[in-house]
Parts: sequence; C-alpha cells; structure tokens
Amino acid sequence: MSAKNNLKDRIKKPNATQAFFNSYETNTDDDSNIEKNKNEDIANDANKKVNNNKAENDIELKNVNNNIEKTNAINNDKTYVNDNNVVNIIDVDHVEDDEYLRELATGKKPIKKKNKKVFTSFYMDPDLAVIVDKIAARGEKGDKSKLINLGIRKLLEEYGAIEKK
Amino acid sequence: MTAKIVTFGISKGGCSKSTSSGITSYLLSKDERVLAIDMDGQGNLTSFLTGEYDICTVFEERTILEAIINGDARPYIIKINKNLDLIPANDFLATLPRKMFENHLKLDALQSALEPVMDDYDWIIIDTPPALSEQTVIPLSTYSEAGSYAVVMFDGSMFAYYAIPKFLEIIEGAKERYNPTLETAGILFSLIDARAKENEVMIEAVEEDYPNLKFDTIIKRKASTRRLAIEGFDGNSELRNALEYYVPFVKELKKRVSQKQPQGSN
Ligand SMILES: Nc1ncnc2c1ncn2[C@@H]1O[C@H](COP(=O)(O)OP(=O)(O)OP(=O)(O)O)[C@@H](O)[C@H]1O
Ligand SMILES: [Mg+2]
Repeated sequence: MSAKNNLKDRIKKPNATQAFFNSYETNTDDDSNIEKNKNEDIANDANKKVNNNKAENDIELKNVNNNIEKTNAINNDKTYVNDNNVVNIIDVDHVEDDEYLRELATGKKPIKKKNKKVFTSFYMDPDLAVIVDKIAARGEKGDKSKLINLGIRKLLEEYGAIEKK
Repeated sequence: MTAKIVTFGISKGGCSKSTSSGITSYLLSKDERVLAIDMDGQGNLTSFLTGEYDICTVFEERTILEAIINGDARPYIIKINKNLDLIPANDFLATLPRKMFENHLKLDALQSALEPVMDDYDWIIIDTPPALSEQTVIPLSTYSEAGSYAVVMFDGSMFAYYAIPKFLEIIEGAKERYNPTLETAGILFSLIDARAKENEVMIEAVEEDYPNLKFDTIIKRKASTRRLAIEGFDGNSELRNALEYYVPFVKELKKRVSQKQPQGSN
C-alpha cells in the first residue's frame, strides 16, 4: 500500500505547488548569487527607467487616441495604423547602445537617452498607408517610422512649427 | 500560553477570507488575546478592522512587509481593541518576494518575525490572498507549539470547488517542508445563497471528496454581514444579525483545534 503510494508519488507530474516550494530549496546564500543579485538590481533600475518612460508615453498616447476617437466620426475612411516598429522605447543608435551597455556593465546607473522613440498610433489615408507599407517592405525594421517622422518633420519645418534641424 | 495559528485561505478570490478572518478575530477577542495578520496587499482585513481605507498612506512602512523583512513583528503591531491587535498590510506587500530574495529569507520568515510575540496571544489569525504565493505559503509554513491550522474558504461555486484540492496541496507542501504539525481545521462554506439549487450537490460533493473536513456551520450570504465593512463592529445596531452564523462557526473552530488530531484525513 505505502509502496504503491510511494510509486504513485514518484511518477506524479510536478505541479505548481511543488515547483513553488522547490524554488526555495536552491541555495541562494553563496556570494556569486549576491553578485548576481546586485547586477539584477542595476538591470532592474534600468528597466524601471524604461517603464517610467513608457508610462509617460502611454499618457501621451492616450491623448492622441482620444483625439483620434473624436475625429474618427468624420474621418471614417482612414486606415488605423499601429506602428509597432518602435515598441522598444529606447531606440538608441549603436554608439549610444555601446555607451549605455558600458555604464550598465561597470555598475553605473545608465542615464536616460533623449534619442528615444515614442510609441503611438494614428489613422492614415488608405492610399498613403498602402504606399508607406510598400516602401517600408523594401527597407528594414524601423524604416517606416523614419519615413513618417521625416515627412512630418519636413511639413512642420515648412509651416514654421519647428526649427530646421 | 502559546498562540494557535489559524490561516484562512483559498486560491479563488472573493470567498470571504477577509470577512471571515476578521469576524473570527473579533469574536475570539471577546475572551482571548488575538493577533490578526493581514497577508494580502489588498489590505481588506486591515481596512475591515481599522475602518481605514487609505492604507498606503496611513500604514506607510508600518506593515507586515517590514515585520517580515526586519525579522521582528513587535514594532508593527497596532491595537484595535483591548484584546485584539493587528499587523496591517498595504499594496507594498507586492514587493515581498523580491525583498525576501534580497535578504536571503526563506518561507519560514514569518516564523522568526512572530517568535518574540508568540506567547503574548492565544490566537494568531491570518488572512491570505487568493493565490499560490509567498503571502499564502509563509503563514502556512509558520509553526506554533500550540498548533497551526488552515481554514479553507469555499463559496459553493465551481471555480472554488476546483481550487480546494490545490489549496490542500499547498497545505501539504508547507506541512512537509516547514510545518510538520500543520492541520486543516476544515472547509468553511461561506457566502451561500439560501435559495441556490446547487448547494446540496456541492455539500454532498465536498463531503464525499473530503470526509469530515466540512464545518457543520454554513455561513449564509447576508446583507448585514456585508455591511459590517461599512458600519464596523462598534455601536453597530445589526451586529447580532451580522454575526449570526459566525458565532457557531467560531465555537466549532475552537472545538476542532483543541482536539489533538482534529481531522481524520489530514
Ligand atoms: N456572509 C456574507 N454575506 C454577505 N456578503 C459577504 C459575506 N461574506 C463576505 N461578503 C462580501 O463578499 C465580498 C468578498 O468577501 P471578502 O473580501 O471577505 O472575500 P476574500 O476571499 O477575502 O476576497 P479576496 O480573494 O479578494 O481577498 C465582500 O464584498 C464581502 O463584504
Ligand atoms: Mg481578502
């Protein structure tokens, strides 16, 4: 009877409860883990920064969306564009990437990079959406965003809304 | 006298864990010394017993989180009435697992924190969140010479029915690894609608699956019980009515845990 139970226990599939308890059985008291722990902290701080940025951006995003909602009633012939080429908020170039990782690796708190992209979504005229997608398909990840940004930047420069770069 | 520990739990939300642990603490404190502990970041037990809903501000850095991390509950105990004390919780309890890891604490962390006050109380009543987590497992892993017990909350729903065996598994795990004398005091039917057709079936199913575990007392759903969270206990004109089912439950609980081996099956 007890032998049978024993066997049953042994072939029992591992369950969540056992996995939970097992996760506390590993030895976390050695120094390598403390080191790891510290590094994770640094990484976490960096993450927090990213998340903070994201939160701010989310607010901006919401506002944008609200406006879209309002105009949508009239402009219902637009194509909804969800530009997920820029989901990663910190979109630094290679030089900055290097700098960022160096700070991370040497234990300094990496500073926020200004050169980040804001994730947003908006409605586009269907013909524009088609051609933009076509162009983007020939390029690489991020090119669609570059194109849209350049377009709007040129227009706003022409309007005098922003300074020429 | 060492405190008996009773942990209320089930990994299904809204089964009256906080309400039942709060009322039980209140009723026990009429004659005995009780420490209620809120292990849920929602802080419902905290609000229930203190009447305070702005828990993040009011109990800032004065909660069970700090008690566990600092390994001493004493500075975090607040007085509710003559015989009833509370260690509150607020949303920051979400950081417990991470903090435990940083401080190399194991699942017996509450044990060390409670050691200095273990003899100051007859009962330690603990409310847990509806999840398999540190907040749930730590109380169950806390040993007491006088006995450590779990009350499994059940609201008669299908979801909760499936949560029962999982919670019993958690109890088993804690018993095996940390708290060899842990016992299941019983399964408490709560929030039961007097008119629901499926009640009989559920009662039968639970009695069949878990012989002798079901408490005889069934807590029916009552508006006056729900209003306790608004009106509080003091000067509440419908208190008698609100506690109607809990008085026999607490009697039954006391009887069960005073027997050496309260339950056949566990
Ligand atoms: N016997 C009862 N009669 C009427 N209402 C009740 C009763 N018991 C609890 N309630 C109400 O049911 C709801 C859920 O109860 P409670 O918050 O105690 O459950 P819980 O299991 O602690 O929930 P959670 O899993 O979120 O922690 C609350 O609004 C509470 O006031
Ligand atoms: Mg609760």
